[in-house]
Amino acid sequence: MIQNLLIIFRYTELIKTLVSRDLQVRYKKSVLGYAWTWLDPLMSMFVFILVFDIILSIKVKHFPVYLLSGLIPWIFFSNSIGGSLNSIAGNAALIKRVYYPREIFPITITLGNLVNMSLSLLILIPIILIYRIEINFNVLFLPISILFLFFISLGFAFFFSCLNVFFRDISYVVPFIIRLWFYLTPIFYVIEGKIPEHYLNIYMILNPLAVILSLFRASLMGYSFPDIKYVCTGFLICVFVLIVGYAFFKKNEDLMVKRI
Amino acid sequence: MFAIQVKEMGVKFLLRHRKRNTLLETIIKLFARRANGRPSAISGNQDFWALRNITFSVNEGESLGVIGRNGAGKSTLLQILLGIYKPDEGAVEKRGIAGLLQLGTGFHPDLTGQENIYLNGAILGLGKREIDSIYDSIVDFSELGQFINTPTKNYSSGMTARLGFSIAINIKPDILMIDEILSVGDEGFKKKSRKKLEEIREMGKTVILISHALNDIKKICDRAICLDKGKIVYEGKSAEAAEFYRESFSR
Repeated sequence: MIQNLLIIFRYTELIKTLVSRDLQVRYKKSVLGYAWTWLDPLMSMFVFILVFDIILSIKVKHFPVYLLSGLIPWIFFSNSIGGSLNSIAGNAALIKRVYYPREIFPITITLGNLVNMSLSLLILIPIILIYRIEINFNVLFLPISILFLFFISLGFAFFFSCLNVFFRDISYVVPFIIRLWFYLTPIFYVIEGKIPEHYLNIYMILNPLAVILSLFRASLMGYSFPDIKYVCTGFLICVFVLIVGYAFFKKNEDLMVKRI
Repeated sequence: MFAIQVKEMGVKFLLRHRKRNTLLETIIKLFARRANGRPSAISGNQDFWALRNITFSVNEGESLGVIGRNGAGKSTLLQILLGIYKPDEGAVEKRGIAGLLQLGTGFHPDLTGQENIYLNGAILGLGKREIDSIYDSIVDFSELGQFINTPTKNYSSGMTARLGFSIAINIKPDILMIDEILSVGDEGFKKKSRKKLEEIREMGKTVILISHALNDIKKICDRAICLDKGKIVYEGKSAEAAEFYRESFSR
């Protein structure tokens, strides 16, 4: 496995080229260009404000910041997996003609989305200023939460891009699961204090994304840190998903190439 | 010193007589298999050996032609040599970097010719600086001129092939594999490509050429192998192999 990782490092030039190619292609054709990275979370934010804050009158403190700091990581997570799903099956022509490590396809897509997320996070700066939220040293935890979000997204990207070659149902099932998962994750609502402590324990262990989002909010908007045991299990799950996803990908690689 | 050595190599594929398995069917089969205690033959599918018992070697600086009818396994052999498929039995050894020439290998239609040169260089494992140093000779050779800044989706098939050929030939891999590409482009470009190929041969590079054009095989290759139904049916001097192929398969 370590040997495989070293091989990937030899292809950093290719990964860089492919990531910038993906970004160029994505924005070259659109009139609004890079503004799309902001429009996507902003539009969703306005809809949620309209529905929950105005129509249903459910009040959450600093709701726009709360929403954005949940939506932006979520968009990264779902776009990385959704985009990787077809990254092997859809690149059949290339994979059958040139050899390079196939894990580069999901890696490229996830990295491209990481660049997008970093750009989208910039819109939080003016909003945080408007709400006069005090930024403290907690913001140093932001890179760590991004790293673990990256791990879990990449792990799923490996797993499902490979599985999708064998079973095309995967490309329908996975977006469906991600949509359900979205509603089950505290993106537009607050879960703390709403359910009994005992259930919250189980919930936070089962949903590492909830832990990552509360880390995002702790580092960006001064929310209290999630319990250390949630953080540890959340991180363990992220690393576990990455290792299992990658191992699964490598184990089935040869068969996968023959099937596309 | 050999550049490529292939020993009793075979590669098989799963032939599907039915549609692709769905997730549900596979799960059901998985349980059925558990219940039986032994793997059940999946009905409707069977193994197909695209290549079997393939043994040959190519020395450094030698050029080998591969001929055979459609479906004989020529392109699969090339994919094995490039490392795209792993052989299911036997062994393949290579010394040096292998490059492939095929129509529009890995071109991205939305990117310009220039951007695609860098992309392709990176795919073949070159750094940006290395590509910078050969960039001009690629553009010159391709004769694309100002079109190098046009997205490749607007290229004609001849232009795409010319760019692909120019990239592969200027990157100068240790082993150059060519799959039916000498037949593209106009007469002038074909002539130039053959001349360049001769130069590459003189530089001591190894060349593997797959072609239906027996004249190219005779002119460019020292030796040739003839494939049929996944097996080597003839191996020898290129002229003799071409003669064998003509007699056996064309009427």
